[in-house]
Amino acid sequence: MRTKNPRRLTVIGLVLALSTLASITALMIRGSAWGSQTEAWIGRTDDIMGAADAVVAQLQGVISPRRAYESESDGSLLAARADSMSEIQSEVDRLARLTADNPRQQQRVDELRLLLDRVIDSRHEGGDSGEGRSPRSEVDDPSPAERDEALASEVRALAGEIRGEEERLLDQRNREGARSVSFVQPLVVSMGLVGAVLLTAVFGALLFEIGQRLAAEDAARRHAAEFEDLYNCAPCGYHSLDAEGRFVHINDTELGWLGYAREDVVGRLKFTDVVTAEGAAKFARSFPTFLEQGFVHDLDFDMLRRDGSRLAVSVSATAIRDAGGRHIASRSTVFDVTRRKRLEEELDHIFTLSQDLLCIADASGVLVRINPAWEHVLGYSLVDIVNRPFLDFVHPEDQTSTQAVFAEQIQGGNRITSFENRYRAKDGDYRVLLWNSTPVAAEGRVYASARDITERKRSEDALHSAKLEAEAANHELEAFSYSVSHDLRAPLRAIDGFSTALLEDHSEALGGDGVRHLERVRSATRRMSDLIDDLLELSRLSRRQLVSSRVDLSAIAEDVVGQLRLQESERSVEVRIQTGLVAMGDHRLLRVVLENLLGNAWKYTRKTEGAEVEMGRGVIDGVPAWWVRDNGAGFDMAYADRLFGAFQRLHRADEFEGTGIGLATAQRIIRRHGGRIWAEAAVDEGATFHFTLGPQEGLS
Amino acid sequence: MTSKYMLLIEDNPDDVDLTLRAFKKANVVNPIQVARDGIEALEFLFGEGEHSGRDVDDTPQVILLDLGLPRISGLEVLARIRSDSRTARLPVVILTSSMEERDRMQGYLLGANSYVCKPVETEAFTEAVRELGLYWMLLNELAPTG
Repeated sequence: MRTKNPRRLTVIGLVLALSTLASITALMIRGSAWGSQTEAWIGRTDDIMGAADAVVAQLQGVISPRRAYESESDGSLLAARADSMSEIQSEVDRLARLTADNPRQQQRVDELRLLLDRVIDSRHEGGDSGEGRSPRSEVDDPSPAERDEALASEVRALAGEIRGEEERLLDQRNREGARSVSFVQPLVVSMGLVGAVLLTAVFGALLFEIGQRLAAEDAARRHAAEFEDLYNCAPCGYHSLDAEGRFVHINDTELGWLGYAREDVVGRLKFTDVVTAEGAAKFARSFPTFLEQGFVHDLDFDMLRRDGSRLAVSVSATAIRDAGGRHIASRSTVFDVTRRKRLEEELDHIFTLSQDLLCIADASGVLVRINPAWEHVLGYSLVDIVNRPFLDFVHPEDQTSTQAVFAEQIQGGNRITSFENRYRAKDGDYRVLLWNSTPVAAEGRVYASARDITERKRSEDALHSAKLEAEAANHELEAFSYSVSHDLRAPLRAIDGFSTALLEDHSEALGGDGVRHLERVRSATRRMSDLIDDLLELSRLSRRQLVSSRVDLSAIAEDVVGQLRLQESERSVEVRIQTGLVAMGDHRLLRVVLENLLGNAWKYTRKTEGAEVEMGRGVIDGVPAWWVRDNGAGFDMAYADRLFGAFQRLHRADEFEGTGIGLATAQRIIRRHGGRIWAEAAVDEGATFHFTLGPQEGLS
Repeated sequence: MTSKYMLLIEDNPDDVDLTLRAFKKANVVNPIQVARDGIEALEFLFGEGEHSGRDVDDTPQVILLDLGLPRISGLEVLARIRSDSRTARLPVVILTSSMEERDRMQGYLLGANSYVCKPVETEAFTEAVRELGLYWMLLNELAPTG
C-alpha cells in the first residue's frame, strides 16, 4: 500500500508534466499560425493598398488623354485611355475581391465603381456626359476637364479611404497580435516552469524508487546469504534428496557429522550409503508410509560416518511431489540424538537397577511405566501391573489417604515425601511402602519412588514393643526398689532388733554358743542391709538424670580421700592426686565413681606395706583418660571380665569386705557419660583403673 | 491423757515393739499412743469411729508416721493432718524404712517436720529413737493453740 501511492503520484506527475508540454506545444502552434495569418494580413493590406494606388495612378491616364483629345482629338490617345480604363477596372475588381470580407470596404469599392463609371460616361457623352452626376458639376456647370478633375479627386479620396481603412485594420491587427503575445508569453513561461518542476519531481521520485529497489535487492542478497548461513550452520542436519534418494543439497552441519566434503556427497552418494544396514532397513520399512502421507517424523536409526563409526540420529522428512503427485524429491531434518540416547540408556540402567519401586503414573493414576523392582518386591510380573491403576494394589484401608495425596499432587502440584501405604503382593501379603513423588503438571504425570519398609516397620514395631516392655520393666524395677528399700529392711531390722533384745535380756540363758550364733545372725543381717543399700544406690544412679557441668575431679578426690582418712585414721597411705583434673560430667555421679575407685584402692592396700594411691590424667586414642592406681592386692587379669558385674567379687569376703556392686555402679555411671572404664592389674602388684568420659565439649 | 504423749502410726508390730523398747531403753517415759494404720490414726486424731468422744483438743506432742501403711498411705495421712485446722500445726516426723528421694520430697512438700530413716542396725535404731524422743518431747515447743 505504501509503495503504490508514490507510484501513482509519480504517474500523475508525469501525466501532468506531459499535459503541460502538450499545452505549451498547442500554444506555440497557435502562435505560429497567428504569425502566418498576420503575414497574410499584411500581404493583403499591401495588395489592397497597391490596388488602390494603381487605381489612382491609372486614373491619371484616363483623365489626361481626355484633355489631350479635347485639345488634339488624337485617336491614339483614345486607345491609351481605353487601356487605362480596363486597367482600372481590373484593379477595382481585385479590390473587390480582396475586401470581400469587409462590408465597409465593399461599399467603398462600389462607390469607386460608380465614380469610375461616371468618369467613363463623361468620356462617351462628350459635352454633357457629366450631367447630373455631380451636384457640384450641375450647379457649377464646369467644363469636362474640370469635372474629370473633380471626379478624379473623388476617386483619389475614396482610394485614400480604402487605403486608410486597411492601414487602420493592419494597425488594429498588429495591436491585437501584440496583446495576445503579451498574454501567451507568461502563460508559456509559467507552464514551462510547472512542467519543469513536475518533471524534476517525477525524476526525483524515479531516482528514489530506483534507490529503494537497489536497497531491496541488496537486502534480499543479504537475506539469502543469511539463510544460507542458517541452513549450513543449523544445529541440525538438513539435506534434500532426489527421487532416487541421491543427495541434492546437504548442509555443513550434517557434512561435518558424517565427515564428508560436499562434492563427495552431492550428486554422488545416496542417503542409504551413509546409513547402517539396520537403519536402511528401518528406512525402507517406513518408506511406503512416507510416500503415502508425505512425511515421516522422528525416525530413529544410526548413520554411518565416513570413518565407519555410528551416529545416532532422529530424522524427519517431507516428500515433495510434482503437479501430478509424483514423488520427485524429499527434504529431511536430521538430529544428533547421541546424547539423548545415552541419557535414555543411563535412565534405563538406573531404572532397572534400582531396588526401590520406581514408577510413572498418568493423571488418572494408571501406572504408565514401572521398574523391575516391582516384580521383586510384590511378586507380580511387570505385565500384571503396568497400565493398571495403582489403586488396585493399595490396601483397602489406605485407599482413601492414597487417593487424597494423589489428587493433591495432580491438582496442587505438590511434592510428596515419606507417604506411607500398603500394597498387596501377589502372595496376598501387604508390603509397607514409603513414597516420595513429584508431579509434573505439564505432562499430567506423577513420578514416584517407593521403598519397601515392611521389614523396617517390623523391626520398628518390635523395637517399640521392646521399648514398652523395657519401660514396664523399669516401672517394675522402681516398684521393686521401693519394696526393697522399705519392705526388705523392716524384717532385717526386726531380726537384728530382736537378736539384740535376746542378747541383752537373755545372754545368760543363751550361753556362749547361743550368743555367738546370734552375733552371726546380726552380722548377716548387716551384710544384707549393705547389699540392699548398694543395690538401691545402683538402681537410683541408673535412673538419675545426668546434669553435666565442669567438674573438678582433683577436688572431689581430695575430699573423698579425706573421708577415708577419717574413717581409718590409723592407716598411713601415700596419696598423690594431680591438681587441676577437670572433666565435663555430672558432679554427683562422678563423685560416686571416685568414691568407688579411691575406696577400692584404699581398701585393697590395707595389707600392703607403704601403701600408695595415685590419681592422674593421660590421653588415650586422642581423648582424655583419667586413672586411679594403687600398689595393693591387685587381681588376676584372667577374671578382669567379671570385674564390673554386679555382685561379682574377685576376693573372698574374709580377705576384703564388699558387696561387689561398687565397680558395677562406676561402670554404669561412666557408660552413661559416653565413656568406658577398664583395669590393668596383677596379683599383689596393684591395680590401675582407667576411665574416659565421652565427648568433653565445653571444657576449656 | 493429760500428760505429754506421742502418737506412733506404724502397722508393723515388730517395729512397734522395737520402737517402744528403744524408747524404754532411752528412758523416754511419756505415754505412746499407737495406731496400727492410717484410718485408725485419723479416727484417733479426730475423735471418730473407735475413738469417738475422745477429746480432740488433747493432741499429741509429736506424731511418728510410717509411710508404708495399709489402707491409706502415710503420705495421705499426713495430707489429712495438715488439711485440718485442729491438727495442721502438729509436729509430724516421718519415721520410715524408705530412703526413696520421691518419698522424702513428697513428705516435706506435704509439711512433714522431719524425715528419719529407720536404721536396720539395732544400735543405730535405738540411738535414733532416743534422740527423737529427747528432742520432740523435751526440747521442742509446740505452736500456741487457739
